[in-house]
Amino acid sequence: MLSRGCVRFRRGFVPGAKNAHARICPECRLWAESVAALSGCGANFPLPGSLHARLTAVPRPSGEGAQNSPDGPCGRPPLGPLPQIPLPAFLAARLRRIPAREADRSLPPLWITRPRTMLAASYLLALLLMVALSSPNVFGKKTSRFLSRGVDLTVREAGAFGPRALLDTGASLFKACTLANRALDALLDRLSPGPASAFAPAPHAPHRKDVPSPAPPPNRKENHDGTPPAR
Amino acid sequence: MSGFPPSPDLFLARRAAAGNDEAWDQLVERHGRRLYNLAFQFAGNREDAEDLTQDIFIRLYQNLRSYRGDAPIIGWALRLSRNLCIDHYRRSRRERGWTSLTEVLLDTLPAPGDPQAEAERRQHLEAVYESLADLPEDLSEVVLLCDLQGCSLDEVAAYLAIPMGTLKSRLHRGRERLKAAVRERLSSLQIREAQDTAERSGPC
Repeated sequence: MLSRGCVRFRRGFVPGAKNAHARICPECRLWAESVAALSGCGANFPLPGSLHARLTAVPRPSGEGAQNSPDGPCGRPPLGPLPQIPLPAFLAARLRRIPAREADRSLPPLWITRPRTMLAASYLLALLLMVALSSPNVFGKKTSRFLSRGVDLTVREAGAFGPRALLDTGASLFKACTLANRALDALLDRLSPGPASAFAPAPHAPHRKDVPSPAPPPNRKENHDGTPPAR
Repeated sequence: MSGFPPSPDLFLARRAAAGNDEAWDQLVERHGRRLYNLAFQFAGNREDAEDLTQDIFIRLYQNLRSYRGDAPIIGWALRLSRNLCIDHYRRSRRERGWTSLTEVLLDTLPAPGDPQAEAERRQHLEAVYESLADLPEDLSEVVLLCDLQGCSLDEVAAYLAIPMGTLKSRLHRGRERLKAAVRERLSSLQIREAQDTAERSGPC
């Protein structure tokens, strides 16, 4: 009695193709070898020309009159099987090239062909590009938090419906985005007193908590001693 | 495993699906001509027949893995492209596409040498195709495939996905109606020819 695996293997067996089942099952390996040997040793003599002509004439009616008679035999219609038009050589060549052409036409990844995952991926890309290319002064902390929440949600959604690869990519991107977000937070915290100086080089600037409050800007409407300015 | 030996087409299909180009070439060699002729019957002209044949083979290639060998591969391949075939056939019937088809067929047949016999042959061929165009589509399709193209009942049943009994009944009805229609058409042609001859000779 053959097991299910053996039956499946033998049903789908193709001589020459490698299959894992044949490695683990010695009976099936022997069976496959014998079938492959049998399929390769069949005699293949050419059909003699005279016999070919006689055989091809068998299904045709005996004469022209019989072919054109309005009442065919056995209730058949007036004409017998019509002669076969030869297949044009260029068409045969085109048909032979089909496998190569189909192989060239590499299909896009599955997640691109599914609208939901494609939308999620393009949204994710747009968010990352915005974070990477835009000025933090324009979007600020609030925007970056919103972005990180959006990225998280998008990656989760895509992971639920898309292939695992997208989820992994999304997770790594999300990590990178979170790091960027933290760095941005720190930067904005440090630079919050003056938006204009957000990107000014301050390599040795101490942390905000370690320094006294900054000097008031020069256009404040009071004098240095605290008295209101004279008009 | 079933007791039937696997057909050569099944072996070829499996090898072709596994990427063996030689097997695919053999499939084209074995069935290209017949499928081209069937496509010609559906399309009615060379250009459409070539396109249809290519479409049939592309679909066949794309679905080779699912071929189980339980139906003739010709019928199975046509079944995959059933919508394309029927669209072409409907257009051909509507636009009397068989007129160019009869020309090609007459060129293919060996010349009888006698002009009258050739004219008769043309008449018969045209009468058959005109009568087929008047038959309901389900009947004409069956007669066309079985009788004019010499397809086996198994192949046609696989193509139409209908039980063998239904197919035989359709074929019988189609043959009867076609026979009557062709006979009527030819007799009316003969009467018309006789009248023309009588008019030409004139009352003396």
